[in-house]
Amino acid sequence: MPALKINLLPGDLSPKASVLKLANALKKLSLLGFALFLVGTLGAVAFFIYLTTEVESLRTDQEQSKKTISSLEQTEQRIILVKDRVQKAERIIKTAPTEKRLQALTALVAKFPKNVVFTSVEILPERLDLTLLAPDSSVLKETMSALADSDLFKKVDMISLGLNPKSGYLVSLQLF
Amino acid sequence: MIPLASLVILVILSTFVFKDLYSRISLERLKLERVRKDGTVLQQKQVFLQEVKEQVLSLSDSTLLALPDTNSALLEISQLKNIAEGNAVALENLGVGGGDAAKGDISNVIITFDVLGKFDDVLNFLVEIQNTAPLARLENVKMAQAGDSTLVRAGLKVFWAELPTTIPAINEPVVQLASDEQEILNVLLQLAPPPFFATTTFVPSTSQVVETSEEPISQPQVTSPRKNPFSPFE
Repeated sequence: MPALKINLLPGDLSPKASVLKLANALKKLSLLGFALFLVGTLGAVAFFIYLTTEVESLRTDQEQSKKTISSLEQTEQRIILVKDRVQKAERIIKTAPTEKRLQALTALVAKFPKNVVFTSVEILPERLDLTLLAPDSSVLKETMSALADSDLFKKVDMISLGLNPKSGYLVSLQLF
Repeated sequence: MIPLASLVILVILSTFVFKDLYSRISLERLKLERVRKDGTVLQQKQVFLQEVKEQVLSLSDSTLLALPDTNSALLEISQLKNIAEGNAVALENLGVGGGDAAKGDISNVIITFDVLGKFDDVLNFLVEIQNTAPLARLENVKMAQAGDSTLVRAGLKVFWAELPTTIPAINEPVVQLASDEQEILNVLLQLAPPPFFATTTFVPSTSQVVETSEEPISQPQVTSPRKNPFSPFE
């Protein structure tokens, strides 16, 4: 004999069909949410563990590199020393204009005729003072042409020009 | 009622758990990024140091000879005498004094001297002074004709500078030379050392020239300077 289902509750106390539907939907939703929560949490924890392991592994490599670098400390000291000396030497070289003037004077001497005599030279930071003795006018002309063509100086001031019949032309110049 | 309560609990639990996990993961990612950058710097530094290990010894010797850490006047006087001898000129009235020995990180002293010889020879002498180590610069050069010879009265500024006292933190990149500094280095390497200093000069090739990195590749984790590494040179 089949079992007979009997509802003993009064008909007005049983939940409505819409409430039952909502409760069902909420139940499904919480089950799904819990599943997602579990998957998400597990995934995040796994990623976190991966990151931590990666950091640790890189740190181990770094420690090895640090040991090697420490063993090369003397080389690093010498590099710092070279850098320091170069930077200081740069400051010295850049603030010393005399070297350029000396180079210009050397170049000028090479261009001048051989029989020109330098009676006095003064190398100053801002200019070069020259006094020359040219035995005759042709040498004087050649000297002045060489000076004009040399392109070694921005400006040339002739301070004096004298003639001594015995020795020749005495020229005082300021070269900038 | 129960499904709704469980849903609310799940939402609250998820908020706390994911917030905490997110901040931990973000922190760990930052850590990983920094460690990776530091690792790259260390790796590059290690490779660079191993590459230049052999050459840097002679470079540092040459630069230290060009700009010593102690008063270089005696060394310069010795050089002056050698150059005078080489150019057949007479070196007279040598004197040392003046300069700014105590000012700034570069000290100097002035050597005054007279040179007597043929014009071309004294000119060569003056040019050669500038091309010898230690680094020196001429000042107040006066040349005057004295019979067949030329008399030069000049002042020569010689320099020296204290050695650096610290090196950067181990995870800072190696500070390398800029191109203009490389030119200066070449100038220093070309300075003729005194005869009793025999150094093998190494001129680095362009590929070995290091350029200054204005900004470090990464921020160093260790900022405290290491102990004075230059004490053996003092």
